[in-house]
Amino acid sequence: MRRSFLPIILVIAGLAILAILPKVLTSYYVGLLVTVLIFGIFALSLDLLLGHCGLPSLGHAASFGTAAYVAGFLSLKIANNAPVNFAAALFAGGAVAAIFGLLALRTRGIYFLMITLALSQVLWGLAFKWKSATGGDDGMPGIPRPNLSMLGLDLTPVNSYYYFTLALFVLVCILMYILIRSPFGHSLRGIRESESRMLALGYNVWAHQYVAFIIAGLFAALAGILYVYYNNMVSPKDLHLITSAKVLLMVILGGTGTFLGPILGATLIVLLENIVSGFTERWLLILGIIYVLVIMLAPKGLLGPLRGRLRRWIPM
Amino acid sequence: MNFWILQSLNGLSYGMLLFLLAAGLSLSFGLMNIVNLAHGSYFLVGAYVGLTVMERTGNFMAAVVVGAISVGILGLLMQRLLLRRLTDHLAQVLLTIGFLFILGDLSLVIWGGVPQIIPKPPLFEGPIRIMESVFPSYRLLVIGVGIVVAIFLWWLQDRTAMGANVRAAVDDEEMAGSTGINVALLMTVVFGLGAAMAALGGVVGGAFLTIFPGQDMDVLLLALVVVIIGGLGSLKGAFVAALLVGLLDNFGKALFPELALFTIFAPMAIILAIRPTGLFGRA
Amino acid sequence: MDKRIGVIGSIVLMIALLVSCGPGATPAPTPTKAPVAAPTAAPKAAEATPTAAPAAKPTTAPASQPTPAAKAPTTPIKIGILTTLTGVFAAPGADLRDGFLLYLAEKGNKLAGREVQVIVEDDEVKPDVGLTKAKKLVERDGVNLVLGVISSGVALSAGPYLAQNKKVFLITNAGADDLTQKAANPYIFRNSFANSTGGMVAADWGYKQKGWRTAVILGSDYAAGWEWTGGFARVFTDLGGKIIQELYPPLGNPDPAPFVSQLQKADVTYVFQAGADALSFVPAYAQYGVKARPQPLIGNYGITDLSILPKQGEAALGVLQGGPFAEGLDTPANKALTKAFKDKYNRDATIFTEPAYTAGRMIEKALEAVKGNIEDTDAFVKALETVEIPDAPRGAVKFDKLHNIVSPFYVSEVQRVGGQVNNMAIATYPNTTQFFKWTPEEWLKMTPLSEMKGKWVK
Repeated sequence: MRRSFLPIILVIAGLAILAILPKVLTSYYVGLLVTVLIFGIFALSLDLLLGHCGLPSLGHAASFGTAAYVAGFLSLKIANNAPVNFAAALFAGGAVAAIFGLLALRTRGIYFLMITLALSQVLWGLAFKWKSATGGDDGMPGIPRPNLSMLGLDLTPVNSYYYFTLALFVLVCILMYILIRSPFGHSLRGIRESESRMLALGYNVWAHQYVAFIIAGLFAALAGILYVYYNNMVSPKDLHLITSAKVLLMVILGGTGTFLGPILGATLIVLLENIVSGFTERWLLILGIIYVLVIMLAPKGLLGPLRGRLRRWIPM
Repeated sequence: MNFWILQSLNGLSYGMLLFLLAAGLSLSFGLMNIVNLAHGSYFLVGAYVGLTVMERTGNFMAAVVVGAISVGILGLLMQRLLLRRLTDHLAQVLLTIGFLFILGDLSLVIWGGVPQIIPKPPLFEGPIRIMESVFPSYRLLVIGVGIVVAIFLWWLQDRTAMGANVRAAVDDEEMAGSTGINVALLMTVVFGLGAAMAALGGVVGGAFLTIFPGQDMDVLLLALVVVIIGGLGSLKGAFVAALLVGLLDNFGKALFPELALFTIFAPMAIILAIRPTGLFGRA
Repeated sequence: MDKRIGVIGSIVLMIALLVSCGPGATPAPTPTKAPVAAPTAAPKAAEATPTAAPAAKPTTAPASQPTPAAKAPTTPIKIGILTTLTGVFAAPGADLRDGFLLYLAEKGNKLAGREVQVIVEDDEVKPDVGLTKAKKLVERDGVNLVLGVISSGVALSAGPYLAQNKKVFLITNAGADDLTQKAANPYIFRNSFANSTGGMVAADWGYKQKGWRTAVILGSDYAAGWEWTGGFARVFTDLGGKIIQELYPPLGNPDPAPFVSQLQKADVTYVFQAGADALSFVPAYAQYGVKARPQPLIGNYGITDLSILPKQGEAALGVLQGGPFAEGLDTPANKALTKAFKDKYNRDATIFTEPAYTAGRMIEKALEAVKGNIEDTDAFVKALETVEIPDAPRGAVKFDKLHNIVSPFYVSEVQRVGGQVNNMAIATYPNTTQFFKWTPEEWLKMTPLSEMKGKWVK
């Protein structure tokens, strides 16, 4: 009995804290929390690939950034029509994943890393150079928040936007939870452990991974959409290798395949980036050292050593 | 006519520089399966070290040698102490990203943020006449250096025992190990050599491309494009692809400046789609 | 295994420490309420429409600031410096920061009797990072004013946010014309320059004094490049000159070869290049034989700024620039600034130093007018609008109606003076505005120069 109740209590307590936080924090910290939630979604989506499929994508920013650009472009230059823009941006992010998946899933291991990296850099180059559509290096500032006035919601104040993001974050967590517990999720992990065995068992390995790649792209796209509306702007950085690497670090720092791990990783990295840079000019040095320390000392992530214990609570 | 000759020379000299930069990345990939994202940092640090030596001694040769050797040692240490302990590709990539940040920021601390340029050797300071037009003699020197290094590497790979061992290890690491080749040592040496060549590129390039914070990332992207087009692990591929990218980039900028970057990204994307292992890579 | 857990634990601890330091380290003395959430949200119209008369509306002070009538609080004034400390513009960013810090140090860290606390943030030359840092300065640190910004991209992303939150934003470098034209705003000031002005001065001088009639223009392919070269082309063609070739290398293009080797023969080449691009361009211009044709090179005042000039060698001698400043300017204030900066920081002051330094004087003068009460933002804005400095290092400066600087502009030339190369002024255009020889109305009716790229060659 105790075992099954504890996680529920923890989740409810966690949600309650997340719901109360804006009441006690200043707007700056609420803004940081929004960023944490968004990167939490982003990191979770990548963990579907890395943790559950064993596919180390170094171009996951492609879906994130593409969706951000599409949402931003439509809202700024066409019309602030939230449902249409959301759908179009999600579709674009998913489409990018669908195309990249076709090319990348023919390869494995280090070639997979290299191809995902190269493809996402092509999109970065496009955003960087196609000034008339993307604003080039300067990006597109002044993108309005989605207009949900028909639902009686004004997302302009940071607190409202926080609750909006939180709701979607919870939704993503639920969907992801269902997905990884589903037979599909089990098959993915089976493939990760041994492709040949799953092939022999009659599984369509490629199709499983391809679908997972697109789903991961869709969740990353959602994160991208939330990010562009939060920042009111989008820039080529959102498609860059460094962004892809940052999310990877978040996942690995927290621990792959642990559900809480990517969220914890996202929290730590976002806070570090925003707070350390206020104290020292040398924050890039510190970030670099963190990369090295994490990889050399905690390659399984902070939650890695605890995974055995966590497994009892959260099935993986 | 003049236009084509001049721009071809521009592109060739740029391509030779890219070869110096990318050869090491390709080698370490072929031998160790490492995507080294700190490779651009070797170029940058090498250039800065060369600058300091040039300022102290005024001797360009010394700048080249000291820059290459010191960064070569840095590469050796990185491989020996850290990269060698990691077996996971992803962990290796993230480690090298860490070094991209660390080396970039340390360079900013040591050499400051002002863009720098390495004084050229006095002999190659001025322009020379080629038919109707004027061309910087230094860029001809760069072409010469590229050819010499390419021949040296070809000799090393095809005509020496070390080269034979490397080829054996690339083909089948375990088999090579069982025939008594010290594969671990070989890897360290090749990695160091690759770093030293990137640094050599940095010093040579620092005299006409300038040196500035953030250049590590710029040249890393170029090197990745070259390696992907040429084929992972192939020296011949790196050479052909470097010249190709140099020419494409130069003519792209000269004829369609708006499409700069795309004249090299588009071929890369096409090659990835048709032949993921690159022009000369093995499947 | 145990060892590993210990190590991980210590990382967590380290990170937790760093994080927990965050909120605690600088407790904001005045708990400013979240400005975005405030019921008296700034009128949105301000960012969309070009307001002709800035701060004309007598808006009351924000409700969350209980200011006792005209009496200044005794707490320190908080000033945020938003600048670039990493990446390709790290050096200009440091020069900007230190220019302002130098002025503060000279004043014993006090302006108009109130202590000044400075918070420096790095925008990494990325517009979204700049916006995030601007939010941090306002919402977490509670600054009264933000100054600085090297890149126009950052200024254009942070500007609307700062204006919406009624924070005075004093730009000391970013030159995009829009900032004080189409995107002009009551809370945004600029004491550096508008991009196009330097080019216009260069064209006027060259056409009239040097008799240039044909020109080639070459500018980095982004707003600043289009505006500097556009300013040149607009005045040059207006006077009757002809632009025969336009080239736009990508920004951050360290190899100028593909472009320099196709420069056509003309009376003059006008160039906009900055930083590393400029450093390699000037020697290449000589090595490809263009300088020797002879075809003079004139450009923005960054092509040979003092941080890169000594490295450009002989090739830089005789290169001309048009801009609001020249390092070799022979005014007493500039000589004092040059010496004080060198003494304090052991490097040369550059073109990025002077506006930041002068910003200190301008802020001080406005503060004195409102008796230090910077919390009364609207009164402070009014005071800043009327500030005039007759003897700034670059000469007499004040703001125009759209809050851009009115200052002398110079044509300068790289000369060897007493064994040292420097940019020496050879002609002066006093009291130059961003509209040059046009009225504001005429100017604003013309096509913005950032949209004129590719349309100059007829």
